[in-house]
Amino acid sequence: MPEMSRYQVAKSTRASTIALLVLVVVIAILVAAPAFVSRSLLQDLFFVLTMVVLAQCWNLLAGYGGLVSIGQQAYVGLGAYAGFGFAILLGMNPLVAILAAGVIGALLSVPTAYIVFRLQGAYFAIGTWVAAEVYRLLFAQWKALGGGTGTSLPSEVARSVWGVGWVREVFDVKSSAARDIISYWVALLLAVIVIGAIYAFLRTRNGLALSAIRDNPDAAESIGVDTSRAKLAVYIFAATGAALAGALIYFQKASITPQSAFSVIDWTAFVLFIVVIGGIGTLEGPIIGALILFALQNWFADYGTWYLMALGALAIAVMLVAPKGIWGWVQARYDFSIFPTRRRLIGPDTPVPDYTQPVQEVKAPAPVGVSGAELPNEVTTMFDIETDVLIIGSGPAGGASAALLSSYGIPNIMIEKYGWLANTPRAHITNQRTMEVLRELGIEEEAKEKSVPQELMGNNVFCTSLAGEEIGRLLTWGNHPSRKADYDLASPCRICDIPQTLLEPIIVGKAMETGTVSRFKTEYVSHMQDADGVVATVRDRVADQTYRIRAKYMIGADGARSIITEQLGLPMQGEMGLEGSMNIEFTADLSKYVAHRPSVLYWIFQPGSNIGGIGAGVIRMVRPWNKWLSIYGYDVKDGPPNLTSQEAADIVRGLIGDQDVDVTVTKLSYWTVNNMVASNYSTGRVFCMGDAVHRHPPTNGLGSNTSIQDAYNLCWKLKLVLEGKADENLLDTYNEERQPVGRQIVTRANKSIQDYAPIFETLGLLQPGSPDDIKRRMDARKEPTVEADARRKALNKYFRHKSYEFNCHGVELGQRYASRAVVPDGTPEPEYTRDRELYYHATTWPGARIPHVWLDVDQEKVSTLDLVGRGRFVLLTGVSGAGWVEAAARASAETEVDVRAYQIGPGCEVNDTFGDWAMQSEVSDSGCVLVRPDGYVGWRAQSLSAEPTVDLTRVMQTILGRT
Amino acid sequence: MFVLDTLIQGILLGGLYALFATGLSLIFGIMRLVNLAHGDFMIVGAFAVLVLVEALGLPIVFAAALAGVAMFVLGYALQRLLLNRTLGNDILPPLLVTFGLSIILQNGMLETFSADTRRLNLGPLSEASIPLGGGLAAGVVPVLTFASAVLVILFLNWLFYRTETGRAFRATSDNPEIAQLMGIDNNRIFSLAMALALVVVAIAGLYLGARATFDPLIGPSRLIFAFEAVIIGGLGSFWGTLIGGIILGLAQTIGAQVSPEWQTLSGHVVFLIVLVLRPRGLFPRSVD
Repeated sequence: MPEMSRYQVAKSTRASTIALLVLVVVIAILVAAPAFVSRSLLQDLFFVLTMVVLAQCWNLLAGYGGLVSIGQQAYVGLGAYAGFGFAILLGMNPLVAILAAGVIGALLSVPTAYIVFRLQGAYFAIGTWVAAEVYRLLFAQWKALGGGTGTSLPSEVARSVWGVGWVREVFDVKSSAARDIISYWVALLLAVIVIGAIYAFLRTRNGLALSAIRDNPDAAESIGVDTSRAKLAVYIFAATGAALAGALIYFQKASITPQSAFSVIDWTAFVLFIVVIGGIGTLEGPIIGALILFALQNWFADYGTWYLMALGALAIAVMLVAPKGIWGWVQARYDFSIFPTRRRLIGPDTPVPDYTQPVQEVKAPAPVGVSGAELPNEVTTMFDIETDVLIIGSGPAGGASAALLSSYGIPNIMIEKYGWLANTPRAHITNQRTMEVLRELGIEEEAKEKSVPQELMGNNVFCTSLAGEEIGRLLTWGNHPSRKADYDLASPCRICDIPQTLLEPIIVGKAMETGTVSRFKTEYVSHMQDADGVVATVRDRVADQTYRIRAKYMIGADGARSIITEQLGLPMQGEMGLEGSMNIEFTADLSKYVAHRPSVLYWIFQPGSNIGGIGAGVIRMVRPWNKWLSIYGYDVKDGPPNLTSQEAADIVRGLIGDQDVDVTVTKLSYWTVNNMVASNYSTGRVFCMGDAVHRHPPTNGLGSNTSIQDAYNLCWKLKLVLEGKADENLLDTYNEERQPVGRQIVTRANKSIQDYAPIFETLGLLQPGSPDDIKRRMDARKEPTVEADARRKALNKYFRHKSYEFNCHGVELGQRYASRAVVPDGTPEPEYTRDRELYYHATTWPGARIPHVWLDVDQEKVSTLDLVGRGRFVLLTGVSGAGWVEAAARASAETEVDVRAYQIGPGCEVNDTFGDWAMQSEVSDSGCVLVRPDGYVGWRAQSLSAEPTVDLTRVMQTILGRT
Repeated sequence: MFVLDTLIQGILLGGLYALFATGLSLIFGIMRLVNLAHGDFMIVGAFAVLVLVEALGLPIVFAAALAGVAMFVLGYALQRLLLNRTLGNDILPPLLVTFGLSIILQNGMLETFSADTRRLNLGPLSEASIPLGGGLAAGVVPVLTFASAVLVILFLNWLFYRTETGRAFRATSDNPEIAQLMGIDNNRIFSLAMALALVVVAIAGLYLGARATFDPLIGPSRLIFAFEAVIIGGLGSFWGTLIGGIILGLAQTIGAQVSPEWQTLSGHVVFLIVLVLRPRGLFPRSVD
């Protein structure tokens, strides 16, 4: 039949042959990719390749086999868990474990199929989902692999990956990058094998049978196609592929939880969308779909829920408008196929493709090894919990960090060992600088409402007992009229007294309200760092379960008994446990002794009250005037005395000097005086702050205040680095700026204790003797003699000297920073005209806090400090400073960091009604002052420069560490 | 006594699952459509009631009625404008479209209501219980739920077998082509069925929110319960669905007594056992 011979059956076309050749080249390029692409691109490619594998498997099931499953996550999870089990529990090398996981997937798919195949069509779909749920719930019971909270791949398993050494040598990379490369190669190999196998399968008899089943099961069966066997084969194949991919993905993630491994969204919804958008029932579609999903994810994943909604809508639209997807549309339009599976009849009238060319075989690259655990950063749901910043501790440092980071929009998790915040009043003096931070956070008013105001804080009484003789009095905390002006002029905020028990809930409340995820009764256990972040192991003390939190940075604010500083081996200088001290909390109505001299502190000079403790006995007001706390020392060599409430009450009554007063001791706690500071606050991605790095007695009231300033200094830097706008070396300036402050305050507070000794000496309280002897020695200063006068003068001097503890405005407010994040303007540091510890010296010299003056914005009194902060840089200039405003806008655009410019003066947005800014700015009307987000001057210029944009951009780049 | 208590709780929980399942069963019975967003629509219903109660201060009964009306309209529009276009021989389009809807609904609710767990507050009713003697008691809300499930099923049976609309439903279910030839507007019938199903869904959402807490993401797990109840009971029978719900409720309650982690799992296991032993469910309609 010559006529018949002109018809031939062809599988390939010339175009498809060429396409296959191109494909081989593409694969070769992909194999070589680690040599010339970045590590993050490689991780992206890994993601695309694994999604291609899963999509191809699902496409085979649904697109060719007609088995619409929404339970493929069962096999991803199974594979992942099997892989972990083989590697961790049986010590298999990860490569072997992946293969073994594939076998497990195949084996378990058979009984699963036995059950779900009883359901048809849509019910089959949900049936597979139920099966996946059953697997998920069962694996959540597998305690050896962490149960419901999952587990991480131990580093020794990660290290055991074959080929790492070779890759390190060839590509000259770190071992973590080498493992990424190996993972990538395995993913590439898997993708090529899966696509090749499906392609080969579809061109066989069985493959044709499948298409026949899909198109018409009855007809197919009637001509002898065994539908059930072909479907089972497809189901097992897809399960195996998903299990292999699952094991690979989770070895790369290095950590697993049942929720993520069996996630219907991650492993089925996305896969389904990939296939449908790319083109179902084609081999090309899933590849295109995976690339599209990757692109969408890169561009839009930040939009979170909106992204997922849009993805859902896109899939619906494709299904309704172009049900064959993108590749289906291409095929219909151009009749082109890279992987032709259909046979076509070619006759005389058919334009003849060059079918004589054999189809190119797809060669897979040789495996080199397999990746184990390095902690990748590109993949989602790697750890039980992920966040940007993990904060350990909810005290003033931790709480302020949480509140500040949340106010900047930085995701953070704060964990706290105990069930609630401070349980004793501890810190209470809340200085102006702290109030300025609270003001920025919007909780100044709330704090003020719960505080005792400045006016009631300052009759610092030195006496033999509350009921006894008053030896002297010092107006403290800025209450002396001459100091009141200093304090009032320096800040928009007032110093106040608010016990830690009341302040912490306000700060932490704000933090949680604005986004901080906090976990109480959760204890920090350990952490490890890598190039991309920190993985902390924490223990839920309620459920007694440990889990891991992955963060990009960690803040160690775990207090004076810090475990983190110890684990990091931060160099600590000084000593702990110098003196023994106890806090006796009690209730008693003492108003009759204090109403005429309201204060937060009453210092008691009695024989013995100088032993241990903080220099003298103290009665401290906690709440006016019925809740109190006594600080009383003990000899640290003898250890805590373990008093009964009765004994404690006796001490209190002794200090009050009235045996009849009704005293109820509510709490007794012991502590020691420490004199210790870390000479370095951070290591890598872990930053310590607060008492963890500066440990000192409560004298001067600087502990909580300094802790909050630590947070205020670090958090904006973390924000800019996390947003990719500043270089990581900006974070080094945290230590450079804050460590000297810590050192200073630790020294200052301990010195204040020692300043009591001369008072005891002068009062003659140090020598032993009978009460009468002591009384006589104390009264010696009352004689009209020269010797007694000298005594009186000395005592007066010593009491006045206590201003270094109680009116230390320069230490409270006047800290200056020197670091790379402060750019000098060439002028020398202004001279201190008064004592630098006692007095705050306002200046706009770079490195100083921006001076406070009152300004006017729309008839509203606004402080310079209200203009700055909130995570932005602010540039302040005068009426002639329009050039700086423009420069700020340009520098903002250039650096992508918000620089808000304000012109200050008549006719400007901000009016200098009092003229104070003109007096205080120290730059000319056309000059500028650049203020960092923490209110510190980063740079200033005396006048408008020739190229303000260039200058300002350079300064910003310097501060951001990008030069 | 303890055993009896578990049985009572399980049966009452079954009432809730029957409510979950009835809407699913109704839709599948009439148009062979499996609505993968079914669970999410229940959550939509629960939020609808919550918003009407909390934002507008309506009494809960009135809020539920209003939510029912809104869901009826939503169901009609959804079927008319979207889902009717997916029906056909290929099972993929309706599955994918409803799966997409599920994701849109979940994330839309997440965006609107945040991930916080909520609860519909029925006031003193929430905690009230009916003493059954011998120290046993049944919560008022679970009993109401069960009663509502029975009422819904009675109503649907009446509608299906005693009314003109029901006849159209059955006709379309048996053979849509022939039904169309007989002058039935399939699109309209399908839309009406979906509208009706979403009213049942709204009732299910009401009790779901009143009996336990809910959040925007729990829809899919509730869909699975609904699905299991339908399959256990057997396709095509509302009473079977009620029995299926009760069996599932019992399985979960008994499982929870063993260990809280086993609650859901034991439901799944019973479902799988039924699937192996009686693939068509316990009470299938004789002719499918």
